[in-house]
Amino acid sequence: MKREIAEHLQLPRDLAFGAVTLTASGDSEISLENYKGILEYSTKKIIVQTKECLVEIIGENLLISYYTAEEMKINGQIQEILYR
Amino acid sequence: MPGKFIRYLKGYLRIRIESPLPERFLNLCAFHGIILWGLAPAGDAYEMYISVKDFFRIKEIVRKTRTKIRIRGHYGMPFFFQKYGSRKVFPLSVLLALALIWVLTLFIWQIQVTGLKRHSPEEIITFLKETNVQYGMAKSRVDCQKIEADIRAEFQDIIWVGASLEGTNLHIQIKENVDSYEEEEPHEETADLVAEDAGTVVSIITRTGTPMVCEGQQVEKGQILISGREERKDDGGTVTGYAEGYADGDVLLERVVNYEDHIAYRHEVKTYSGKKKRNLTVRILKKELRLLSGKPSFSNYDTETTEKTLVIGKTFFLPISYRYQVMKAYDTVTEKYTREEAKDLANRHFQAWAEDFKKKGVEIIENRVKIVLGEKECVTSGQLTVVGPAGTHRPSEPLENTSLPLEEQQ
Repeated sequence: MKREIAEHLQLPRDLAFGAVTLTASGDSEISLENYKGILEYSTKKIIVQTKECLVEIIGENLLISYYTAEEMKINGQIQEILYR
Repeated sequence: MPGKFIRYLKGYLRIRIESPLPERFLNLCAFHGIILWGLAPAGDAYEMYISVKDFFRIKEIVRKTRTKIRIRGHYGMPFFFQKYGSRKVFPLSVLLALALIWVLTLFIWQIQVTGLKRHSPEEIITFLKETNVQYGMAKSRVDCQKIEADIRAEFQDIIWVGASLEGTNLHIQIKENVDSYEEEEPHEETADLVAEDAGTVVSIITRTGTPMVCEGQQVEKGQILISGREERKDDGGTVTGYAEGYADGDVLLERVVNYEDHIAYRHEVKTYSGKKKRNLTVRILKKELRLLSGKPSFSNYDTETTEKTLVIGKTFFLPISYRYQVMKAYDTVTEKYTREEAKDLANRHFQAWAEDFKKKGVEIIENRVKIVLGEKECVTSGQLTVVGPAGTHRPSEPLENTSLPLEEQQ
């Protein structure tokens, strides 16, 4: 019902359902918004819990440039972004 | 994400956390609004930056997640002062320097006058000094509008003045009315226009007074060309009296002038020996300090002076200026011109002299000047026929019972 109303009103998905917003700049930087927390963090893999799914970022030398409740930025050699 | 400068100002730490639940630690920090940056896994642990303020807020999170924390580094201003705080002189001198710079910005350390053509900047600055606007005064006391009004009132030919404060510089921009002619002050005395030299009148235009000569007439030196005295006539044309005035008009005379110039072949030239004496004077506020001074040991010298006010950026002039003088010793050596060189020089002298004449509105119509190369010197001499203004004012001689006003005569 909620989904139908939101789609009918053409509301942005991140506002309506708290969908994760992911902005990738090339293969070296990713900004993430609308997440719940980090589930796993290593230089090769970062798994982020969002409201709807898990976002898995795989790469080399991954580093979280900053981490706040609203936004996080990941730098490194990004190879894959998976939604699970 | 706070700005780097704010972070530096408030101070931050590099911490290393070892925890069975590191992700939980990170999430709890985010949940409590604790900002972490520069997160990087380091073996089994993680390293990250945290602000000093937030560091004291993570105690509870540390307990909940059974995390061990080690501080790896201190950064920012508080730690900088902590490190050097024991050396009291350092922070004190930093504060003192900042305070001094702040105090210095409250005063005028430079008065810059631009846009002048007729007047000199010194003239304006001297005038401003009379109105109590001067070097070293407080900026708060500067009233730009009053300065503008004062300058306009004092200098009639200045048509626009803009005064503005730029840092510690009082910038005065001026526009002069370059097209205006010099307004002559009304003359109260009576005077005649008399010939400066003997010659023939080419033209005469009278504005005030009575013309005493006519075109083509020969005049002697000192002869009255235009009299300041004007006749007063009644209706019948009879002269009833005279009005005394200041003769004004243009009289062009054709006259003969002499030119003579001697150039000796042997002449003295300066050769710099390389000996120098340097003087350095530093002016701080209104006091002058002579760092290098003394009289040179040589008697013949030329002096080069450089003066500069220290400035930070473009407009923050400091009350520190220096004057650097170099006195260069020279010897005089006698050299000899060749005949060609002497002739060239004689020509140049004559051209410069003729140029000066032209500037005065005098036209050369005949030139009988010759260059004669003698044994010891080059002599340029001869006569020129010129046409130009040749009148000068001389007070009128009193004439008895003629300068009475018309009414009294009747």
